[in-house]
Amino acid sequence: MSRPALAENQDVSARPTISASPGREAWRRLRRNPVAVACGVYILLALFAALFASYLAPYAYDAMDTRTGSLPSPPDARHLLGRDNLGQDVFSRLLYGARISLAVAVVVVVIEAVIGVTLGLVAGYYGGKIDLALMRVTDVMFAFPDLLLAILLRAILLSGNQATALSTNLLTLFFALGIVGWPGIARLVRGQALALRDKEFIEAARAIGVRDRHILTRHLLPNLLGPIIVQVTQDVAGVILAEATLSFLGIGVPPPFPSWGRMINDALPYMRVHPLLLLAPSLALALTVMAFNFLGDALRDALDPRLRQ
Amino acid sequence: MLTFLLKRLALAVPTLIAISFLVFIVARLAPASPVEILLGEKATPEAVARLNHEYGLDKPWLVQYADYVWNIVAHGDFGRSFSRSQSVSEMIGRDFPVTAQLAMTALLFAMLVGLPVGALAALYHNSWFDRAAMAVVVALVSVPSIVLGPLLVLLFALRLGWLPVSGWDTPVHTLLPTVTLGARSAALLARFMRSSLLDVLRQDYLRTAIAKGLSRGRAVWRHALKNAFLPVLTVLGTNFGALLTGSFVVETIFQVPGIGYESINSITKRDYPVIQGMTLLVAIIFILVNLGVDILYGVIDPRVRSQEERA
Repeated sequence: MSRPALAENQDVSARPTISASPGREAWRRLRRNPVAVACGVYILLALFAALFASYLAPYAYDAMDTRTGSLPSPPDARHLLGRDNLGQDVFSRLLYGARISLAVAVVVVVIEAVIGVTLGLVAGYYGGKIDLALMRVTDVMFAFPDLLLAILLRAILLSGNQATALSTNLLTLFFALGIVGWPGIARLVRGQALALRDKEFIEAARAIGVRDRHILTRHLLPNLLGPIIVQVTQDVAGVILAEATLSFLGIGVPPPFPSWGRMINDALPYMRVHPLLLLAPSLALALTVMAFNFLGDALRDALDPRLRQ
Repeated sequence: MLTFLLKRLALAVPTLIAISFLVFIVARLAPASPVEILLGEKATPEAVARLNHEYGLDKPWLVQYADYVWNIVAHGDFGRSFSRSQSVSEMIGRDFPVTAQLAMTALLFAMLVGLPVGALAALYHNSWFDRAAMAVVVALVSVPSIVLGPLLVLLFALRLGWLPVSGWDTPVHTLLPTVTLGARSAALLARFMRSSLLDVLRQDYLRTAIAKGLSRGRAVWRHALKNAFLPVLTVLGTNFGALLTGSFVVETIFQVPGIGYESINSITKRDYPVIQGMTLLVAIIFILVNLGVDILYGVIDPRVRSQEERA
C-alpha cells in the first residue's frame, strides 16, 4: 500500500461513519415510513392467510353447508361472515381467495420479470438492431389498451368444445396475464441499461475482458434491482386486479376455486339483502391492491429519495 | 409540420398491421375450430370440408390473414357472428355508439372533476385541501371498478333508491356507469395535473410574469394553466384507451348494451368472430386516438415538432 492511500483511509475512519450500503439505507428509510410499515404488515397477514388457509379456514372452500335456513344466510355462530348462495362459508372462501390471488400474482409476476428483464437487458446493452426489433414488439403490446389482450386471449383459449382441463386452464390464465405485463418491465430495464452501459465501470469490465453474460448479470443487473423491485411490487397490484377482473367476467380462475373477483360477481344478485357477501371480498380486494400500490410508492421513495416531492 | 405528420403516420401503420395480425393469430389458438363449433362434433367430414371451403379456412393462413384485413379495410367487414344471423359489423354499428357515449361521458366526467381538483391542489400546495384530495386520489386509483360499481349500486340504487340499478334507457341510467368508469381516470388526471402545475409554478417565466406586476391569479390563469395542461394531454390518450377496455367491465356490471357487454356475452356462446372483431376495433381506436393526441400535441407545442424534425 502506498502512503497517501493509507493517510486517506485514516481520515475516513476518523469521521463518524454515516451510511452503510444503499440497500440498508433504503431499508432504514422504508421502516420510518408509517404507511409502508402498515402496508407491509397487511401484506404479511395476507401472505399468512394464503399460506395457512387450509389450517385457518373453518371449512373447505367448496364445502356446502345446507343444513339450516335459506341461502345465502347472514353471519351466525358457525359461519363468521355467513354463507353464500351455495351454502359455502364466506370467511373460508375469503381466506382461500387470498391464496388464489397471491399465488396467481406471484407466478405471473415472476414470468413477467424473467421475460421483461432478459429482453430489456439485452435490448439496452446491445442496442442497434436487436434493440429496435425488441422495442417494436413492446410498442405493439403497448398498443393494446390495458386488459384487452388478456380478455381476448382468455375468451379464445376457453372456447374449446369440452370443459378445458384445470392445468391447461390455469396455464393459459398465467400466459394471458403474463404477456400483458412484461413490456412495461422490458421498457424500464432497457432504459436503465441504456443509461448505464457507457458508464466507466461497465467499460472497465469490458476492457479487462469480462464476458457479456457476466457483465449483464453481475454488473448491470444489480444496479437495476431498485427500479425493478418497485415496478414488480406495483405489478403485483396490477395482476391481482387483473385476475379479479377476469374472474368477475367469468374468464379468470375456474370454479370451484374462490377468487375474490368471482365472489363479488356471485354476490350481485343477493347484495340487497346480504350486503356482506359483496362487502367482504370487495374490501379484501381493494385493501390488497392498495397495499401493494402504496408499498411500491414507498419503495420508490426509499430507494431514491430525490424523487420525493 | 408535414414531416412530423408523415412520421407519426408511418409509425402508426406498422403498429396497426401488427395488431391485426396478433388478433388474427390469437383466434387461431382456439382449441376448437370455428367449423367444429358451428357443426358440433358429430358432423360428417363432407360437411366440415364444405363449410371450411365456404369460410375460406382451406386456404393458406397468410392468405386468410390477407383476406381478413382486406375485408375490414375495403368493406368494413369483420366477419359473421356464429350465434346470430348477423355480421359483426352490424353488431358493431348497433353497439359501438353506446360504448363510445359511455367512454366519452366518463372522460368528460374525469376531466371536469380531475383537472380542477388537481389544479387547486397544486395552487394550495400542502394545504388541507391538497392533502385530502391526494388521499382520495390514491384510494380511488386502487379501488377497481368491480368494487366501486357494485358499491355505488348498493348505496345509490338499492339503499337510497335514487338511481336505477342497471340498464341504459334514460340519462339517469348513465350516471352510475359513467362515474364508475371515470373515477379512476379522474384520480389519475388530478394527480397528473397537480404535479404538472407544481412544475410550472416553479418556472422562471412565471416568476417573471409576477415580477412584472401581474397578479398571481392572472399569472396562473394566463400562463401556468395552459402550460400545465400540455403534458396532461398525453395521458388523456392512454386514459381513453383504459376507458374503452374498462367499459367491458362496467357494461357487464350495469348491463349496458355496448360492445363490451356483447363481447363478454359472446364468450359463453363461443362466438369468437364477435370477440375478435370488437377487440380489434377497440385496439384500432386506441391507436388512432393516441395518434391524434400525438399530432395535436405537436400542433399546440412547436417544441415537440421541431425536436422530431431534427431527429
